[in-house]
Formats: sequence, C-alpha cells, structure tokens
Amino acid sequence: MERKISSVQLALLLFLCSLASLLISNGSFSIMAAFLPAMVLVGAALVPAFLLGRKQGFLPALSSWGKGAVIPAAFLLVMVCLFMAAQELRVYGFFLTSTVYPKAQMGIFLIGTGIVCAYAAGMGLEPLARLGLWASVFAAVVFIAFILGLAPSMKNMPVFHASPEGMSVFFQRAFRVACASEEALLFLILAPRARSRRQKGGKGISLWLSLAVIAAILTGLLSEIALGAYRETRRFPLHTAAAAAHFSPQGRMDLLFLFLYTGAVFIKISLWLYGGCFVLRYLFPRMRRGILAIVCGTGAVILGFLPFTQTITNLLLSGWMLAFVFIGPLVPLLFFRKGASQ
Amino acid sequence: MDFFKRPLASVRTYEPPHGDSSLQVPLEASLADRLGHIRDRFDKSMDLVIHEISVCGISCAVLMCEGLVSTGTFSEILARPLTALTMESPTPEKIHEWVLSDSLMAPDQKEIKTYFELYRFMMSGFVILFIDGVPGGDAFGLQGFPGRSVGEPEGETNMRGSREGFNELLRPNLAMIRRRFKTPDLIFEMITFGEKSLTDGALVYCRGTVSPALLARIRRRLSKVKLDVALETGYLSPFLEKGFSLFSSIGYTERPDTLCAKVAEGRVALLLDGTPFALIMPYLFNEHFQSGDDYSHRPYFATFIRWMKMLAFGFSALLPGIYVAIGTFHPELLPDILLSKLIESDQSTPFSLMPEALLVFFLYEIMREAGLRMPKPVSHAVSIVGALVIGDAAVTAGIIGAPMVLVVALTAISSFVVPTLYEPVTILRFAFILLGGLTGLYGVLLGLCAVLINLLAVDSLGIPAAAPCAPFSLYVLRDTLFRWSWRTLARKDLRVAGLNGSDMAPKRGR
Amino acid sequence: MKKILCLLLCLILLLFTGCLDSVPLGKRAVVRTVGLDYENGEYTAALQLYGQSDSPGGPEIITAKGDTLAGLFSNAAIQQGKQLFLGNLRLILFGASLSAEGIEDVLGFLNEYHQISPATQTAVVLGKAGELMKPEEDKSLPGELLDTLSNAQQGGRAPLCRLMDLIPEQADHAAPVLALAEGPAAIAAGSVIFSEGKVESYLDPEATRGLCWLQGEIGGAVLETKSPVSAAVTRKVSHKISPEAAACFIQLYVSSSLWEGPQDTGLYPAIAREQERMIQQEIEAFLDRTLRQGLDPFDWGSRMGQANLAEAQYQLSVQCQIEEQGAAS
Repeated sequence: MERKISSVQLALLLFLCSLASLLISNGSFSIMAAFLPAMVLVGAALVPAFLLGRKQGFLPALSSWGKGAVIPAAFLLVMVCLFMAAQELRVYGFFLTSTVYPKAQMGIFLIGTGIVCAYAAGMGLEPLARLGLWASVFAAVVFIAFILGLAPSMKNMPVFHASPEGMSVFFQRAFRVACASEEALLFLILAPRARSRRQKGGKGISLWLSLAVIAAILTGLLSEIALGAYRETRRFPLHTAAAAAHFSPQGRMDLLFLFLYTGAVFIKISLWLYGGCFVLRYLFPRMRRGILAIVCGTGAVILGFLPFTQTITNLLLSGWMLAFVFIGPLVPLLFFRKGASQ
Repeated sequence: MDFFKRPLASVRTYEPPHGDSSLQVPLEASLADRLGHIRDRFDKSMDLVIHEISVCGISCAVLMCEGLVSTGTFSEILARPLTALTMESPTPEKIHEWVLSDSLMAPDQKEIKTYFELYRFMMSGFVILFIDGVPGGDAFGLQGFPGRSVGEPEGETNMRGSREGFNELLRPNLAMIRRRFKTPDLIFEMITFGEKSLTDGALVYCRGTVSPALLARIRRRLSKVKLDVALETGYLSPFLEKGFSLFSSIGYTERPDTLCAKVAEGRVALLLDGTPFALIMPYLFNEHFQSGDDYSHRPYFATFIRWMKMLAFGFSALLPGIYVAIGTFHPELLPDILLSKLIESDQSTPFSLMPEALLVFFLYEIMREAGLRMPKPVSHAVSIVGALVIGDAAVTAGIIGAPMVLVVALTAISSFVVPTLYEPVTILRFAFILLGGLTGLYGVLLGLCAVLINLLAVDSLGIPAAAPCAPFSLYVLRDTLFRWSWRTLARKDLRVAGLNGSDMAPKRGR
Repeated sequence: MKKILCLLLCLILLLFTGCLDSVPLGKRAVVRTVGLDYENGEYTAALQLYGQSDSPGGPEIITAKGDTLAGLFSNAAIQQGKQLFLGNLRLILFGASLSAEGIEDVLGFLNEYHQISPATQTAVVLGKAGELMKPEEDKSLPGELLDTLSNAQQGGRAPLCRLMDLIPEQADHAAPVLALAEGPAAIAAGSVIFSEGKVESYLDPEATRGLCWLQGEIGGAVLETKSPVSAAVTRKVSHKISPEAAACFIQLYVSSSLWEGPQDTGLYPAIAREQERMIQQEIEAFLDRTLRQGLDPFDWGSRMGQANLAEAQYQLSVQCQIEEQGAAS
C-alpha cells in the first residue's frame, strides 16, 4: 500500500507546478505582482477542499452518494487531468522547438516526455514527493545564480510600478491569474494522499502559495531588470535573460534554465498523470498502477497531438476550474450522508 | 524505542533446505548396514575414509572426508582417547554414554540421526563415530581444510583502520565479528542455502537494535530461495530485493569493522561459507560514498572526500553524455577556446561524437575486463597495450580525438572512486551517451529524471534507499552530506528502521 | 512483462535516431564575428569562423552576398560546405551604409535567430564592415576586434551595446564605432546614436566618453590632465541622475589612483579640479550632441515627462578625488 506524503512535500510539489508555468510566462513585473492577491484568492477558494481533505478526499466523500455520483465525477476529473498534462506537454514541446531545437518535430518531445512522466506516475507519488524537496532547493540555487548573474545590470534598475494601469485593472488581472491556477485542482485530487496533522495542512497550503508569489515576483523582476524594454519582444523572457546573464565566463545560463524548467515540467506532468491514475483507481480498483499510468500517459500524448486541447484547457482555466475547486467540495461537505459506505 | 523490544520468537522462522528427501532416513543400529549404505552412496568417490576399529571389544567405525579433517587434531583428540579407553563390562550403550557425557573430544560435538545429517556434517569437515548396536552417530568438529589467511581486502582498502578482511571460511569470519562486538545481544543465526550445496550461512544482527519487522521480512524472503548451489552472496541478493532498479538496496562488504558498524545501526548482515563478501541489509544509497576511513579522519577532510566522491560519481555517469550532447546539439555552451580545439579535433576524425564515445568506452571496458581476468604477470602488458592503443595510436591515426581521450580518462578514474556503484554507472554512462547523441540535453535531462525517480522509489526492505536525503531528515544528514565530529555523531545513534519514510518507524501521534 | 516493456522502450529510443537535427561539430561552420554591409540593394557579409587557430593566415574569414539575410547565410553555408552555426557569435558589426539605411530588418532577423545570444556585442564600422574584418592584401589584420572593443569600453572610449539594447520601436540607444587605423589595429572611433533603427548622430571620442561616464561602465579609464601633467586611473565611478519635470540633475563622483604625476600630495586638489573640468567638458559635449538635439539614449524622457528634451535644464555636478598614488597591482 502506498504511504502518504507530508503536507510540506505536497506544497513543494504544487510550488514546482506553479514554477513550470512561471518560468515561461512573459509577464512583466506589474503582471507578476498580481500574483499576490491572486494566491490569496486561490487560498480562499481552497478552504472547502482543505476542510474536505482533512477528513477524506473529494471522491471518497462523493462516493457516499453512490456510484451514480462518483463515476461521472471521476471520469470528468480523469479527462481534466489528461488535458492538463497534454497541454503542458504541448507547451514544453513548443518551448523546445522555439528555443533549443528549432528544426525538430514537436511529436518527439511529446512522446519522449510522455513516456518518462508516465513511468514516474507509475512509480507513485512518494518518489515524486521525495524529489520535490531537492528540486525546490535546486530552483532556489538557480534563482540565486540568476540574481548574481544579473547583478551588473541592476545599476540601471527602472522604477517598478505594481499597478501602472490602476487598481481595477490590477485586480482584474489578479482574478485572471487566480482562475489560471491549475494547481488548485491538483490539490483537491491529491489532498487525500497527504498526511494532515491538525494545522500542518494549512501550513502546507500557505507554503505553496507563498513560494508561488515569491517566484512570480522574482521572475517578473529578473526579466525586467535583465532585458528592460527588450522583454516585450521575447516569447520567453526569463530564458532570454538567462542567456544574457553574465554569471559564467561565456555568459550563458540558459543551460541552468533548461535544467530547472525540464525538472519542473517533469514533475508537473507526472503529477497530472498520477492524479489521473489516482482517480481511475475509483473506477478500476483492481487495475495495477503501472497499467493505469500507461493508459494515462498514452491518453495525454494522444491529446497532446490534437489541436483542440489548447481550446479546452483555456476554457477550463478561464474560471471553470477554480469554480469547481470551490464549489465541488462544498457538495459533499454540506450534504454528506452520515453512515453511508465509502 | 520500545517497538524494537518485541520478543523475537514471535517472528517467522526460516526453513532450511531439506535436500534429497531419500536421505531423511534414520541411521540403523547395525554398523554393517550403515557402512554398506554409505559405501553404495559414495560409489567411486575416493575421498570417503572409513576406519573400522574396536573400542573395548565393541565394533566401531570412524568416517571422514579426506582433506577436510585436521589429522593431527584427530589423532590427539579423538583417536588416542578412543583407542586407550578401558571399561568394565563394556556395552555399546556405555561407550556411547562415555562419548556423550564423560569425554570432551571436540569443542563442537553433535549427535546425528539421519543420513542427511551424516553427509552434511561429514562434508563440513566433521569426523563421524559409529558404534555397532547404537542407532545414529556422533559428529566431532575437527575441521582442518585449507583456507586463505586473513588479509586486507583488495576492494576495500583504507588508509587508516583495520587491515583484516573476511576470508572464505564462515566460522573464522564470525569469530572476527564476535571479537569486535562483545555483547550477548549479537546473534549469529545459522542458515543453510542450496539444495545440493547445503552451504552454511549466518544472519548477523543485534537484538534490541534491529527491527523485528525488518528481520521477519528478510527471513521471509530468504525462505523463498530455491537454489541448487549457493556459492556466493550475490546469488541471494535478487531474492532479497523487490522490483527492478539500477541501484541495489543490498550492499556488501569484506571488512569485519564495517559490518559491525552497520549491524550496530540496526541492520542485518548475511555471511556465507565460501565467500568473503557479506551482505548488508538494507544499504542506503549515500553509503556508497562512505568508507571506514571517513570516521578516522578529521571531519572537514572526511566531508571533502565525500563531496569529491559524489562529484566523481556524477562525472562518471554524466560527463560523457553531456559532452556528446553539448558537442552535437549545443556548442554555444562551450567556451571559445575549447570550442576551437574541439572543432579542429572533430574535423580530423571520421566519427561524430556519439559513435566515437561509444567505441572508446567499449574498448575501455574490454581493456578493463581483460586486465581483471588476465594473470598478474601479463597484466602489465595489457596496461601498456591499452595506453598505446587508446591513448596514442588511435589519436595519432585520427580514429578518435584527443578531447575524447581526456573525457574517457577522467570518467574512468572517477568511476573507480566509488567502486560499489560501478555496475549501474557503466550502464548509465552508455545510456546517457546514446541519449545525448540522439536527443541532446533534453534526452539527458529526461533520462536523469527517470533515473532519479527509479532511485527514489527503491525501498525493497521498507526503508527508502535514498534516505535520509529523501525523505529529508535534517539530523541524520550529519553523517550524509557532511561528516560531523564524533562528538555530534555520538549524541544519538542512527537506527535505519527509524529513518523518515521507513514503514517500520514508530508512528508519531496525530 | 516489465522486461518486454523495457525492450520496447529501448526500441522506441532507436526510432528517435535522425528525428533531431544533429550536426557533427566538424561539419559546422561556427561563426565568431559577423560584419554586415548593404549596398545597391544587396547584403554582403564577412564571417569570421572558429577553428584553424594555428593556420598561417589566422582565423578563416569568408564573405557572402544575398538579397536577403536568410539568402546571405544560406549562400555562405553553401560556399563553405558546412552548416552555419551562430550560437557562439560574439560580435556583430554594421557597416556605415547599412547603419544609415536602417538596421530594423537586420535586428528583426537576428533577434528571431534563436541561436544568437541577446548579449552579443554590436558595433558600427566607419566604412565597410567587411573591409575592417578582412582588409586588403597589403594591410595587416586588425587583430582581435572583441578585445579592442572590450578594452575601449573599460577605458570609457566605447559604450556597451548588445543586440538586446537595440530595439527600434523603443528608445534611442548608443552603439560604439570601430574604424581601421593606419597601424595593424582597429580603434574605437567614438559612437553613434541609433534612433528608430537608423543612425541619427555621430559622437566623437570626447562626447562618447561623456556618454560612458553616465552609462557607468567605466572601470579603469585613464584621466590625463595638462596642468599639472598627470595620468590617473579611475577606481570607482558612481553617479546619481535625477530626471525631474523641468530639469535633470546629474551628480558624478569619481575616485582615481594617480599613476604618473607630481609626488607632492598638495597638488592633488589641483589635479582633481582639472579632472572635474575635463569630465564636465566631456559630458557637456555628450549632452550637446544628444539630449539637447532631442535624442534620448537613456530614456530619461519618460521620467521627465517631457517630450522636448532639448528645452530641459541639465544641472551637472562632478566631484573627483585622488585616493592614492601608484599603479594598482
């Protein structure tokens, strides 16, 4: 039987998922500063999920309503997990074909990454959780290296404004960022796999959200400092800034960026695939985890090739996912049938 | 740590191999019948020695395997008292009683009841005494077979510390351990492997320190060993591990001091007659970077050596792959002068970096294996040929480039810094060269992620092999990434079963 | 089952062969320096390649032409018989005619070329870039252009200008100018100001030094005074620039080490005053050629909130101090 992971481990995994999105975002400092209220909003939306997670997971709670409730919900969750994994595969493939391998076909990266992430998902959540701490430490080291490498540029630091367009635009932006926080759903799915010890579950969520805010502000800051107005012409500003940093004699830190981004993406996709496997277990409890991982991995790779995947994920991240994260757990919490079998 | 103090009798017991079921027949009372059956069974085998003697007028027989018994000890301890024995009204029972209770002819003396026991003891160097009219027999431990003397193990040399290493004899090995661990809690649990070889082995653990659950798990897995012969502890490792991983969670050592240190931390060791390599269970990944020297040196130096070993491990596994990846796909990462040199070198060689790397490393492995198997007087010639072939002739002929020779040399030297990881490193090296040559740094990075997940998932005995780094344990890191002073290490003893992530650790209150 | 899966994975790995475009290092023409010119509707380029460092003629330089930049590089690759690789490009030179015509299209191409680092140095050449990199047969090679530029930047004779600094849609920016000298060397011959991708102003060495004082990249510039005669090397340069609505306050602090000059420390204040006067003159020369002409290489206009920089007041305060005597180790 799989052992549970700690809330800190779950928090670090979710932080790395957030980092995977932040590293390739082209947001300026003013956009990234909106992460602070956005994460507050996400934290508020997670309250029902947190309360549910401390007792039992979403699906176990929903199963008290019978199979008629849990099967469609589980199927929906599996599809969402696969779509999110597929979209991340596409984004990663796009990054590689844009910056590192311009003449390569994206399908190679979809298949290769899908295979390795499916393998990681099949090994379970524990190895990923164990990797999460050291990946986070590596992320911190890389950011320090970026700061040191960009230090010579800091003499001409521009004045930063968190909300040059006004507060209403700022909060609208924060809302959009909160809606795009896909890690909230991951928390809902993976919360039963974490040991919840009184207030430590809340500390875990706080740790994740705090680290995400810090990373968001740092990425916005670093790309602005390094590139200035040049940032707006680049698709991946932080990657460009890493290539221009003067830390090493040859002046390129994009290798470090590639290491960090690949690690974060690997963890993110593996988590989504694991989430899909975890939910599939409710539908097929006797199926081995390895088989489920192969199924989920294959599904994600196939979806990655399909163009409508982006459309669907954009739709999910336009607010539907956050709404589900908030409302979904309220149903079993408020209408939980006592004494019903799980 | 009360959970460690559960009575050990409640755990599952090991069932030894039963051997040939036709031998489980009791020994008859008639001497002639017994000797007849034995001579038939041994057939033409010339090492069976049978002396029929008369002790106080009673027919007896002494049996042994030639070459396994110390003839001097036999004469002094057994033959002389027996032949000089005088008794009033002797009967077979009286003589047997005298042998059992009134004499002390060998420190290790056992009664045997069946032919299975007879052959097992006789072939273990015991002398067997049959008395006509008394069923069964008596076995006397008068072993005197030749064995290698105690010397320093070649694979685990230390600058500072004991120079003793195990040899192929089980009992002297156990004696070396007992001498270093003078507590009655140190248990040697005898165990036999191999249906035909009936090889003696011993589980070594410290009662009160070892986790009963760990011990039970090991016994359960050992009970599944079904081999005809067990000649080396490596035969047993696959039965003790679960799942597939490049990295083993079972270690080995040839040093009694290392074994004692591991047993003191709650591990279980397994020694086998016929091999100097003892298994250590479980074996954490970070222990590959530790050695006995570390604990004798100053902490700062020991820490430096550990970091150097970790770096060497990284070099040996990743350097060729990263070199091939960068040279093939990402030359923008190379410094200008190095790039110029590599371009000049690459222009003059017929192969691209990946096939060149594969070829050179394959040649290197052939040389290494040849040097290992070749007789020592000829091994010098191998090293000269290797240096000439790879180092000079191939470069001069333009088959391979000088930078590749440098990478190979650095990788080879690095791989010998951590010899216990040589097997996985060799395979990983080839895998990363392929990945780097085919897909560049993307492939190397993904391969690294897969290897890390594989390593982090290893916990075949319920204790994560990557502990205490992952799951993280700050206090235990005092002897992992760093080697703190003994004053710090001595404050709290390490118990492997209590590491984070172990399913044998006591549950904390919620 | 697991063994079969592992075998399948290994076979899948073999299918990756050839899917990614791998080129052996020896089959790449790795470019170190590019010099671009534009004449009669055609681009010409001189490309300095890595490798063959010990060859008698020095590093290999090839020339190519093309109606477009993509065509130019394609022709260069065909000519060389190798695939061009620009990932290790260190210096881009724009010829005078190309700079006057406008480098917007060139910048667009170079920025989209993923191999090229955005931190690649750029410079403008007085004359043809190709001639600077590969002069006529009776003249010596100009030596290492990047070292020349780097030393000039340290001495305040050339501004730092990277590819990422030249953004045609954004503010103006200064770029160094290189020219071929009589001797076997290229020299830093001032700088230019690009505005919307075209050269708008040429700054002589005096004004260039004024720009460098404000850019803050000087760390080892030589300050020579005539009365008394002395040569000092800057140790620390700090500035504080406060663009306000109607005026811009510029405060510069320079500390230097006296290498040559009078031993009498009583003369240090006089030397310092002379240095201040010299630096003020250089900065004023820069202001006259740029801000007072409406050019804004430091983007002060957005902070001053003033469209017409020419009408703003520039209050300049320079303070020099000689801290010690003797050459630094």
